[in-house]
Amino acid sequence: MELLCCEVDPMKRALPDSNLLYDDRVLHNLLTIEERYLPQCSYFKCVQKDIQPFMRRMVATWMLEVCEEQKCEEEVFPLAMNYLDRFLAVVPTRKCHLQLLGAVCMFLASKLKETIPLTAEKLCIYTDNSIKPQELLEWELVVLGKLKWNLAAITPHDFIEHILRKLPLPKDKLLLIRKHAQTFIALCATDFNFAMYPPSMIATGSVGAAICGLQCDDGESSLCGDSLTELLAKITSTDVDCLKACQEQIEAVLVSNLRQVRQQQQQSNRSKMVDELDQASTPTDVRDINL
Amino acid sequence: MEWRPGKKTHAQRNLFGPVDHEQLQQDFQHMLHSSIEGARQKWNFDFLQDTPAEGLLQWEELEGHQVPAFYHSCVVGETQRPLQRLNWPLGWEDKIPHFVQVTLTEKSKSSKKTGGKRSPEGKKRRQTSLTDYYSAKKRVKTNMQAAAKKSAP
Repeated sequence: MELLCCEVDPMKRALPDSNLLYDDRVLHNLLTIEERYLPQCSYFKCVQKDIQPFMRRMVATWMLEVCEEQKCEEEVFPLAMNYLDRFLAVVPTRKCHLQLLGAVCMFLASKLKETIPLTAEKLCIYTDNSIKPQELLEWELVVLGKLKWNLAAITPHDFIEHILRKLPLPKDKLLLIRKHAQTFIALCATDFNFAMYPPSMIATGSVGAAICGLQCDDGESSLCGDSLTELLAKITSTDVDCLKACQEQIEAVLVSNLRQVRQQQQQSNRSKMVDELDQASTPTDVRDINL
Repeated sequence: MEWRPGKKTHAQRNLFGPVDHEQLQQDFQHMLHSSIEGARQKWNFDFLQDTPAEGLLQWEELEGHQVPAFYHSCVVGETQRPLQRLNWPLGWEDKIPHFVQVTLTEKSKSSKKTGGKRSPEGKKRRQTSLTDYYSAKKRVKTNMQAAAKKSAP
């Protein structure tokens, strides 16, 4: 945990609370209540007429870029996507209001999770001033009402520390594994296929994908493959086959995302897996540099 | 969290074309009113007029000092309230300039159905009454159970 303190971070942070992290009741409670915060239905089929899956991806990508540029806490983006999906699952929404909704969701998630939250004005600037702060504040009320003010949704990030501490991982790799797992979680949040998955499954799959991705590189295979999946499945009481499928899906998202980045990059790529992962961990940054 | 004015980044963009602000305002008003109407039916309380409506719950007015401090109105930081007008579109602020404290108790009819564990007179605490109300509602409106479940988070 000393490593965390050494990070250059202007934000003052509380130390990890061992009372919360080393008590299995916390993990158990998270697993019990996580399903309450899932969107009620696959809304592209049953609720939305104007909005298509690719539009969700567009707004999600934009939201991730804003969160990265504003250096938001990691949880803000997945939490905002949870609000967005839960709202869209109950309210038919116009395409031209989707970006406003995304901004409102970031506004709320940031206020819940950050000491210095995003301001309405800043978010409006990010929509290229297509919406006004007053509209953002008005729709905040509407979204809050539709979410029944249940904002403290469980996100995959809530599980990461609980999972990591139960795995026999080398200390020097922990930081990198955590970072990669967080990146996988963000990738999952941009992809609608994961919107209905319980956060614990996404967290477990992301940790699995992060460990496999990193260990493949140095040939160490003790924690890869089936034994790892079984261990992970036990920690979050997930079905092994479901988890395996989920992890494969996460890795597939990474591959398609990488392909996208590559197409935009039009550059020669480094061959090492770690390098690829690192690029994927900041896909939007890479894009920004190019544009 | 720094912001460099003047420098337009890639993230700063309009995704789906121009926004129809009139339409946006219409949709907002429509949703706000339907949510206020939903709340009126759920709590049989008219939040716009700030008066109880007909229904399962019986509202009882209390003096401000009789309720826990948590329910007292207070202002933190700036007193700017940009949304007040929109929150209460029917002239709420003209009619009710002060914060009115109310608590709710059940009608004896529904408390019998819950088994009559507690006497209705003893229910001055808001939380207790609400919990009882939920269980009472479940029993009274069994046919609506499925719908209620569906709307629960």
